[in-house]
Amino acid sequence: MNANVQSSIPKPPDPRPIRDGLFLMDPPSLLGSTCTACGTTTFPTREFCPACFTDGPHPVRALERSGSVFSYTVVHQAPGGRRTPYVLGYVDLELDRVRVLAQIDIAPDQIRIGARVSLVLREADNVEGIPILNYAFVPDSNSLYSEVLK
Amino acid sequence: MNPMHVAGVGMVRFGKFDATVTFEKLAVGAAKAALRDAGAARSHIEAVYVGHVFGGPVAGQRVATELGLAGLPVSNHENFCASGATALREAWMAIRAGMYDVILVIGAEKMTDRVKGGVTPDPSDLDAMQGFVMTAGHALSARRYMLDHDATREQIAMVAVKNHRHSQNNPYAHYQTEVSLEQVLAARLIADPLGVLDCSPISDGAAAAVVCSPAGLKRLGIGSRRPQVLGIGLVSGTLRTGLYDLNEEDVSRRAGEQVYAMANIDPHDIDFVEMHDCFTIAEIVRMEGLGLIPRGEGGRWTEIGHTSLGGKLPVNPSGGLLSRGHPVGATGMAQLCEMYWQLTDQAGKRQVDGAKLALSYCKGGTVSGTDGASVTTVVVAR
Repeated sequence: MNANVQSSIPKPPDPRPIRDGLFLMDPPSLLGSTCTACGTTTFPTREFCPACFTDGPHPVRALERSGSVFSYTVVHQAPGGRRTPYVLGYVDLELDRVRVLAQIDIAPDQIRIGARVSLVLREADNVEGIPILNYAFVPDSNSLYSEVLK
Repeated sequence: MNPMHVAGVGMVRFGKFDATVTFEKLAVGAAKAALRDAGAARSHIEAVYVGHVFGGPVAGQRVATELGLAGLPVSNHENFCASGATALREAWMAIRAGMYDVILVIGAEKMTDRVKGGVTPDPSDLDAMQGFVMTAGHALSARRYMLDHDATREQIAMVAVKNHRHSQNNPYAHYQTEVSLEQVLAARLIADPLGVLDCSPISDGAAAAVVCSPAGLKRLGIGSRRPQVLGIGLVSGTLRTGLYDLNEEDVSRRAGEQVYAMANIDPHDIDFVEMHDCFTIAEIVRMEGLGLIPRGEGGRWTEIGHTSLGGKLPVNPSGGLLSRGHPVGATGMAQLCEMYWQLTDQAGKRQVDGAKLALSYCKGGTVSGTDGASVTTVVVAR
């Protein structure tokens, strides 16, 4: 009886990414491709190298999970029912030499160019109970008090 | 190859119009004005090229039917905010090739009933999924520009002050009143640091021209000179890799170099520019990308008046997108109208004295990972 009751509890549905092939769920990391000819890393992955146009497939790997804010804006008006304000920025993954556009979950008055941030996954949408995950960045601990260029 | 001249132009005033002012009505209004200006009858027109983004399928044919031009070859051209200029380029190629001698080109857009809160990339675009809106892209550019070139927020805002001042004397402009620097700085924020007066408005409108080969001009009975289109460049953005320079404007540089070579001109001889100032900062970085203002100097040039009417290189005597308005598919053709009026000394109080050579620039759309979707450059000589 107990076994039956337990088996009837529905397993929570597995979350899905906003688009296949963009990131790994655990640990959260973006997937890039590195050109076998010139070594340029690209996010998202591509079949060809956009720097030297060598055709792939190029090896896919998890990119570094932290970076620094190259530029940012606080968006106060957005179409499509997005809740505002939100912080949008370019984050530089310096070792991989990849720049990523993403939301940064931080108080608008705390964001600075040069701030250190790390990748997280969070629910962007929910389709019939299935969480749809997108990537974003959050400030590293203590990063708010250092690395400030201006 | 045949040269292309502008025989006549026409516009309807840009602005926000109610539902009775349809896409077709706007386009027909501009087209009739252009036909009248060129002295062209229906029977002269051999083809109709229409640029638009939100007009829907075969909008050009709907317009041609209203004009009594059904039956002619009609084509629709979409390159987002460069759609009007792209339609013009297609017409220019057809005239060069000797295919037609007299073409009607129309750029038109009805936006205010279908676009709310600003235009965005296609929803399938990765950047759009992250919450990218056009204003945000330019805000990211502005913040970096200020840091990299010691430019001030005030210098960027002065682009809006200048362009609103210019359009006071443009009867076709959406806005015809001045704004102060204080008003631009205090305006409601859209994407920090850019406020609502740093953004071009959502407008309805249309602009058109009759373009001709020399044989076409003759057919219209035009004996006097008409401005000549010396070249039209079109490029698309390329994928950027590494930790690139955000305001490098490689896409603008390529579009400029393409048209300078095609038109066989020295860019220093350009007397004024109709620039795609969809946002204040865009005017600055694109002028630099074209090589017309030294890199990093655009803010200072604006501040000291070099880009104002009467300055060393006036930019947007019409008021530009910021103040003339920006019905996206119409903008490229509105720029052609302004160049025509300036080069035929018909620009009234906003006339650039002695203007002989003009350049217009449009940039349309974004594609994630690239430095833009489409850029057009048009060079017209008196």
